[in-house]
Amino acid sequence: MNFEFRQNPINVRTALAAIFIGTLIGFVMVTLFGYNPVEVFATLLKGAFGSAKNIATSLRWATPLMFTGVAAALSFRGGMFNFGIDGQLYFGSLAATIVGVICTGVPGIILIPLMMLTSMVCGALWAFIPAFVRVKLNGSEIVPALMMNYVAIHLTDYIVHYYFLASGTNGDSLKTERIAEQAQFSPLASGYQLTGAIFIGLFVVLAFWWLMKKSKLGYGISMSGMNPTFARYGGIQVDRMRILVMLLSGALAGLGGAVEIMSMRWRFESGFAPSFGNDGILTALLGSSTPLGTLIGAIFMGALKSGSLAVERYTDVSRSLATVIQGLIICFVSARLISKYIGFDKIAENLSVLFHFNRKAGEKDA
Amino acid sequence: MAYAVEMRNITKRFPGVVANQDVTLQVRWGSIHGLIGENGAGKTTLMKVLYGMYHPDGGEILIDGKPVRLKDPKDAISHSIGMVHQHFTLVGSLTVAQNIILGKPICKKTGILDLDRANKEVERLGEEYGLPVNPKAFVKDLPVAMQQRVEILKVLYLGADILIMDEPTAVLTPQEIQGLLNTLLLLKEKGKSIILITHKLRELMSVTDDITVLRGGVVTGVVKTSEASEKRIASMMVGKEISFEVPKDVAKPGEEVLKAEHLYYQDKFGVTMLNDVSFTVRKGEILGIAGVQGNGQTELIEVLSGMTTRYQGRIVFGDREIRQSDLPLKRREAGLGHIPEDRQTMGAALAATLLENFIMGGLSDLEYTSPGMISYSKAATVAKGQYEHFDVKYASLGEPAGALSGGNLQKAIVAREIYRNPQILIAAQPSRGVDIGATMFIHEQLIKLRDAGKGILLVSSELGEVMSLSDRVIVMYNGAIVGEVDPKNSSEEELGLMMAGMKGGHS
Repeated sequence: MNFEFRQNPINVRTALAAIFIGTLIGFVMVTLFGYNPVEVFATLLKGAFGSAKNIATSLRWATPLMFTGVAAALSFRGGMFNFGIDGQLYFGSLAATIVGVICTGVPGIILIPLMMLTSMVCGALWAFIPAFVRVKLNGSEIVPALMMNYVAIHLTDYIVHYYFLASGTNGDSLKTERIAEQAQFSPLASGYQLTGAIFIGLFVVLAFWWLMKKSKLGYGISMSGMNPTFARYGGIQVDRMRILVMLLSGALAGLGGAVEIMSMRWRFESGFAPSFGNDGILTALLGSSTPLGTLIGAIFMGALKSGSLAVERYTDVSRSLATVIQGLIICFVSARLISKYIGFDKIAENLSVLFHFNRKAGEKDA
Repeated sequence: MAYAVEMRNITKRFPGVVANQDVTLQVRWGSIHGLIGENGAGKTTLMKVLYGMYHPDGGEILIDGKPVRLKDPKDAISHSIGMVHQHFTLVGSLTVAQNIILGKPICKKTGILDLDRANKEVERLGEEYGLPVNPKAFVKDLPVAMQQRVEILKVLYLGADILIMDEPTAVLTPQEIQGLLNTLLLLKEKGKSIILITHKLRELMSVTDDITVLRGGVVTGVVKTSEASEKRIASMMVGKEISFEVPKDVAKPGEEVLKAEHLYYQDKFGVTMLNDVSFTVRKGEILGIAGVQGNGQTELIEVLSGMTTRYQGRIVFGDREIRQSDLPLKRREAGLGHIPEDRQTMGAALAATLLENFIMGGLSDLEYTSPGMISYSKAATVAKGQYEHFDVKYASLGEPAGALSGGNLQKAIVAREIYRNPQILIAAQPSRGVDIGATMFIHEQLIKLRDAGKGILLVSSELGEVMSLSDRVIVMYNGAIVGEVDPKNSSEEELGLMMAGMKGGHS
């Protein structure tokens, strides 16, 4: 397998062109299904950025993607494909929740870090298995990682059902008791969905940046991903990097789940993290696996999510169609050369030439 | 009579560079035309234009006097142009005949391959051009020279009258080279026109009729071979008079710095690639390993550098015993430097920046690292100085290493490895595909390193390089050392015979 791990960064033109085309196709689709496209897209936009509250909601949905996005980006940079983020997240967050449910007497300042640590260790454990398959057993890490998602999602359901079911539920909804109160985050301002979780997410992005830009470890990871032969030749222990990068990735996935629970849910629920893992992979791909790109990608995906929730709530369009629009836009954003393909680059170039020309002409006049 | 090929005022630009500017090339029917120039002079670009792989920004191409537009290689082939690539385009698991007819299958009426007819056709073709082959042999079992023969037949089979040969001799032994040159002369006799791209002046002088010299994308000379001299052509290539001799003093070898004892190695198919290899390199000397590619040199380097640990035998660096399990890092710490033969995959990460490439192997360099951390800005200062010192031409340290031309990249790798101040330097094919100017420079650096008291192991399939640089030469054949010669007192022919497995020489 030979993958290019440093993809061309997405430039503003590509992003604009993609959003434009995605929106256009979405427009046509919405019209075909008999809705008013202008209304739908206005709602989408408003739902994402319309008010301070909506912006907060966008950021709320961006937060878990900062964790899973960095988890994915980190593994990609190290030449590993961690497609098991969902599984690591579920496993890590159930473990953290159990700690949070049991340790009611522990003060928050100890309990919160303890839960985080638990989730990270368990997420890393879950990620170790595919890493082991790749490095020691000479297989692909992708298949076991994907399969471990199912194992984790259903195993956590089972554990919740038989051992930690909240009292009062008869198995009709699979959820645990709430975690201890001192571990529950409260909104930054009342009525807003945003909590301190976003700062942890931002810290993770910052730490990713530091790792890749400043540390020897990040250099080793990056080189192992770009050219393992060269890395080995230069004295980097590629196998070690591969395992490490998967462990870190799994730890971040678990942490993302635990923070989501402390921040929003306060309990582990079956299916509480709808496709955070896959969305995180998309986030990393959109952001070319760079720290800043992943951050922007997470915010973009969060805004789309918040917007499509609004579309579902305020228009007759169902969530499925809203998700379709979301998918279309992402689809085109990932087509890096699209702005060139549709001639957008040429138009933009001509415009800028024209602009410079006019400015020069203006200078001459003056 | 019209020219077989006439390229008039071809201009080809790439973003930021003009690869060919107003290049005119005229090739007569039934002649061998040499195209020579340093790396990045635009030879390959020009030939890719002729083969329809690139489209020129200006100028025109005439084949047999008629203007043509070549959209793709298919077009070129239909105008009876054929290209023998430097890296063979053969399928190893198919037979010779299957490979040759790949582009124009011989089928029965039912559409099924008619292998019997194909085999006969290939045999006939081989006899016609004096290139006999066994059509039923599998290509992967053939030696390199034979594979090249298949490659040439493939082009002839497609009906080529104009053959482009891209550095065809780079992979051959001296004897094989002579055979190839004879083939070229025979093809010429049959009326074919051949464009021969090469770095090697001697071959150029011995077979060509006309020579076109390129430098920096423009033609700097068109001469009849009979009226030219090696010196004159070399000066047209580099723009100044140069001497080929690397000036060096007599070596003053000191104590042993690299000792290899009874090395054995089997590849993953169980084939013995190293068979009881023992030698020593002393401080202040260059030990050359001559041999045709594929006779164990690559494996020897892998074993020494720790890229593989599945070997048997003993390795000592200076006074430090190297354990079999020691990874490349340990060996680097013990003073090893390594200029790998495969610079595209082992010597550099082409997608990584030049700066990242420079840092490789130097993670404990206190100039720009502190525990756990790298200062990329400090590293940039060091890299800039070192690259300048080694005359590496680049736009910025942030550009990907893949943007550098072959020779420049090689200089960057040499610069990096020498900067690490190795006690032992393995230099594998240090001048492969590198132009004369850069080759001379790299040779000078190696000698400088030698004179500074370091031990150098030079592995090269280029005889001239081994002979002129080394203080002692050992020859590898079939995974074993077949002899040692003193380069001052032996001829290239003698060495060539040893490289071909015929024992001789004196040790």
